[in-house]
Amino acid sequence: MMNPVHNPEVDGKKNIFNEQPSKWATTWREYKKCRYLFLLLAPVMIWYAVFAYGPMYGIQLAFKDFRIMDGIWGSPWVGFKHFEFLFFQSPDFLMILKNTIIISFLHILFGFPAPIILALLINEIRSGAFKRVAQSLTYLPHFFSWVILSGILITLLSPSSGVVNYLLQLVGLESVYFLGDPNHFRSTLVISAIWKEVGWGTIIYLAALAGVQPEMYEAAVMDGASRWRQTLSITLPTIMPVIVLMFILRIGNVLDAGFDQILNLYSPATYSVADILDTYVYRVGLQNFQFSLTTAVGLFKNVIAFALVLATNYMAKRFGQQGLF
Amino acid sequence: MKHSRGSNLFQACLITFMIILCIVMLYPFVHMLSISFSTPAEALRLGIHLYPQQVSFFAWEKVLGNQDIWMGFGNTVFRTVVGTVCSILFMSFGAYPLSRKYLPHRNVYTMLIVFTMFFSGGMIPSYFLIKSLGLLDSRLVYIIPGLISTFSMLILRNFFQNIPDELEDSAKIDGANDLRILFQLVLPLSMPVIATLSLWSAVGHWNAWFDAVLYIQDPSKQVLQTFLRRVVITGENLSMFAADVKGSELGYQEPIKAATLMFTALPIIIVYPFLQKYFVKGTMVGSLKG
Amino acid sequence: MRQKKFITGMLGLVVSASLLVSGCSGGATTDNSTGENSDGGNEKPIEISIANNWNIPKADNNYVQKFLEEKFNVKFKNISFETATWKEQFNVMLASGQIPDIISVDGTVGDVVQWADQGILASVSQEEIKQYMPKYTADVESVDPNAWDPGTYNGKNWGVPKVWGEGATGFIPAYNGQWLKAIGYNEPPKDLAELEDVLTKFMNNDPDGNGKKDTYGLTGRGKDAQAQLFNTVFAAYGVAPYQFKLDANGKVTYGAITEEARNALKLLNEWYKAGIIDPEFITDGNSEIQTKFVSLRTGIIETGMWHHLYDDGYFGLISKDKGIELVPGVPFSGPDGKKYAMANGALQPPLLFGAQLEKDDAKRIKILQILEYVTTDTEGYLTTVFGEKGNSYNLEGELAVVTEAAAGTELMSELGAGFYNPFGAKVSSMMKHHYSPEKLAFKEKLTNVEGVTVLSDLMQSTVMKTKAQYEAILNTLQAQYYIKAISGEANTDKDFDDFRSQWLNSGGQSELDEAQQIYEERSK
Repeated sequence: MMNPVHNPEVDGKKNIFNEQPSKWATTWREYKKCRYLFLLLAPVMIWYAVFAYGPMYGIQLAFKDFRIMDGIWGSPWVGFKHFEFLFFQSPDFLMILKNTIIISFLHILFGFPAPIILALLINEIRSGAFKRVAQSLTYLPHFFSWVILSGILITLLSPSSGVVNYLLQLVGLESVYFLGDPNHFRSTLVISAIWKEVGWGTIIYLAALAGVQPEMYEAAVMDGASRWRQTLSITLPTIMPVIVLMFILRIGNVLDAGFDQILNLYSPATYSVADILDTYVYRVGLQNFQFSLTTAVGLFKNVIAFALVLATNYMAKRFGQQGLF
Repeated sequence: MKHSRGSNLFQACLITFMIILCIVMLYPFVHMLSISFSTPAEALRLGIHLYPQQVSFFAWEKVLGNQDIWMGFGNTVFRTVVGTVCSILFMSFGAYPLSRKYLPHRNVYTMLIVFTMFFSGGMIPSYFLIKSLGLLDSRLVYIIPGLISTFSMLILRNFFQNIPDELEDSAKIDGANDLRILFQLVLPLSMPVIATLSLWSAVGHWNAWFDAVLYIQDPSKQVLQTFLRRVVITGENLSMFAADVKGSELGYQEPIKAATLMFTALPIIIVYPFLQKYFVKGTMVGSLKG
Repeated sequence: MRQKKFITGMLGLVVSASLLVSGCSGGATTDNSTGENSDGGNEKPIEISIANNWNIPKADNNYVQKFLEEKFNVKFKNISFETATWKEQFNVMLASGQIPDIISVDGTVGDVVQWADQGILASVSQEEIKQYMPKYTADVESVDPNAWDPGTYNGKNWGVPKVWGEGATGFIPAYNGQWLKAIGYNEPPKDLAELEDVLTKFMNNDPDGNGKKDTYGLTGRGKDAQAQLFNTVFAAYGVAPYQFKLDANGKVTYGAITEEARNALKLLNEWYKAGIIDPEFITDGNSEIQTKFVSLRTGIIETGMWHHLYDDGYFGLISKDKGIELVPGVPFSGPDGKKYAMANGALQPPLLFGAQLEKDDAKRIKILQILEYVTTDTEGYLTTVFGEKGNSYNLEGELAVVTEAAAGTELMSELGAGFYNPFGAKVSSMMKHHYSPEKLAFKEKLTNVEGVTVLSDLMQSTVMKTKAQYEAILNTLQAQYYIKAISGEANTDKDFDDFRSQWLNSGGQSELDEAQQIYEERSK
């Protein structure tokens, strides 16, 4: 519900008793009405001004050749030189960009719904004790870095000695070189990422599910609705705002296709399908003082991400959801 | 409550699926735990590790016996507790006003905040800022610069937005101002999401080390992760440093890495079940509905 | 309308906040860590700041620090960097205008060039270094006469040369001794034909006796160190695919595009098809090499240097723990009957000095004197590397043995051992303190094999502008092709020719031209 702010100009209800007040006066009145809110908001905005906007002048490094002794302000401008190096000098840039987008897309397509589905499933467990146990165990892989998990994965997925292929062969399928075969590598990335993060991802959705009112379920049961119907018409709509918000925020990471994971799992055999922006810059950066290049790449990614977030936000609003703003 | 046959079947499948899932999720944990108690050759054994076939406590002795780790432990506990509480507090201060649709220029403030999620100045300007604020080598540097996570605050804001307006309206009629509404109504109702955000913040603080390494010189203020990493690296460095080191940990690199990891992960895993009780609906709703 | 004005207002506020904050904070003022241009330093101790990312001392004013301070009348300022994040910490320090006097970090020659270009380093003449560090420089030059090359840039010398003697020794194949005996070999294979036989038997004859056909001869680091991948086999053909070398006409060429490399690839492909090398080499990294050897899946390691193979080396230790008899072999002789071994080379980036030292003669000379002392004087070396005699180490003959009190505790870092000597284990005349006579004998046996030529990069540790520009692209190209050539996905006939031209066209030719130029200048 909106508390509409009455603006005499818009209402058109002018009379001789209220002359049109100045714009600043109106604003002042509105602020005064919400003074406690601004009391709360002020320290937060100050924090942003100091800690988020304060250092922002560093972004210009993307367009400069950083000479550390001259500092950021003193370093010479080079315009789009770093971007040119990235886009034009690197012969594989298109391939790298393509990989980044495809892998990220796959992560979002499969990895985004997974925690939601798991949260709904966990929510369906009748036994309270088992529910809590399931909650506490499924997020464990989140704590292990990809350095560790890659070692485990290589063993588990080995075509000759790994458990997964052993099981595949038991059911009569052929052994698959998950990590060495370019045709299977991306799926392996997506599934292993889900394995690592799905449990952790459920936490926020479980928190949202805690907000669904039990009375609504009771009413639905009395109306004869099946559990499935209840899920569709009560549970999902109630947590939809959270889902939409998380989705918009997820789009904010769209060009991060999982650097850590890929760096630890890929090899020259799979460069063609797995080399992404970040891994490429990493290899280039190993040779050079590539401070500015990294800043440039970061900026490139963020501009695109920001644009996509704005677009997704707009779409969400069109569908009647709350969105980011 | 009586359940239909279909519902019981579903429940059975669900439980089976969950059990398999939990086993799969549990495996890395068991694997690393086993390795942390293994001898060098056992740690390198190809295959599944459910328990060490050759046991050694050496890695754990090395980790737990390291004095620095306990000093770091204290600092990390400090930043986790204080940092998380402060973060939640300030994020609530920000989220609540932004959740009120009648806040003047609400979209502008929100946009300014969201913008910072995508564009930031980088390490060197941040360093200068910290330096000029006098936060270098102070424990406050663990709390203040990382005070607000925009991501979390936006989630919190959305949760606040979804609290029914009638509750706020009836509270206002009763004469409550915005501050009272925030603390006595909104926050208690939002316990599940606050528990979630606290967990995220706490884990972040618990694992943090890069800011500590960059901004803190005094070893007595250093965090746990820094020392743990050093334990791992020192073991790897020994081969170059001196030969004939008796009681050498060379060869124990894998178990030590595993023990270090366990040491980091265990406290959080132990604490989490205690948070689960917050994942129930806030109970104030009934009392205000009158 | 109102919103727009407001936005401008807010943005203005925010931008000014940003400018204000940036203006307040440090700029590029070079802060000399000391002003003392003292007269020979008799009165006031000279303050020296030393930065190191290894062996972080537990606290200031430790034993070793005080030892040196008293001896030389200096005062140290300790700057410790974490091994993993030294670069970021260093950058941030530089950006604040502070340059350490002594910079002992894991920089590459690429870093040296960048830092020199940006005015961070002090150039020090070879003559001066030789004057104040005579014994050390003689030692270094005896290990590798080209020791000054990595530090030479733009006609100047930047820093004190550093070498790592072990780097000049090659990679040596090592075998599971029990397996060799099981297949009837009393000695390790000597040439490629014998190697092939061993590989085949390792695969077929169940050398670990477990009744299963689950063993291989060899795997490689296809994932994380392509330069070491099957290096002993390539070496037998006289080539190392990631090194520059001279071709038959005396011109500089690159290993990967030579005919020898093509032939080696052919052989490896045959072996792959026969199944005697592990097909999973593609995703094997360093840990997999160790894991597979220890778990009795493979019988050969070829990524070890001699010190890894000794009892207290990494491979030696884990083999012992498992009960495997680790038998070192010899480099294989190839089609031309000669033996070669690939080595990374002894040259290392030099120890660097901050730019302010160019003007501060007294401090610079003092530092050189200290360095000469800690690298060539027995007491100086032992103290700065091992700590306190009787406390953290004891001498058994020449060998320094770390005491039980020190091993596995933080005693070493409490004493400050290691931090003040950037050349620990890098001075050949001092290695007798690190290696027991047995270990030295082991080294002799393994590295002084008759008729072995060590293959090292012609352009080792040389700064090449084209390398910085193209190397990442070229290495990616090469790594991809080589893996395919071995596994058979690409052939070694036309595909090799295509690879060669692509390599040359993607910047390889420029690299060769620059290398040729540098080589000719050196040969004058």
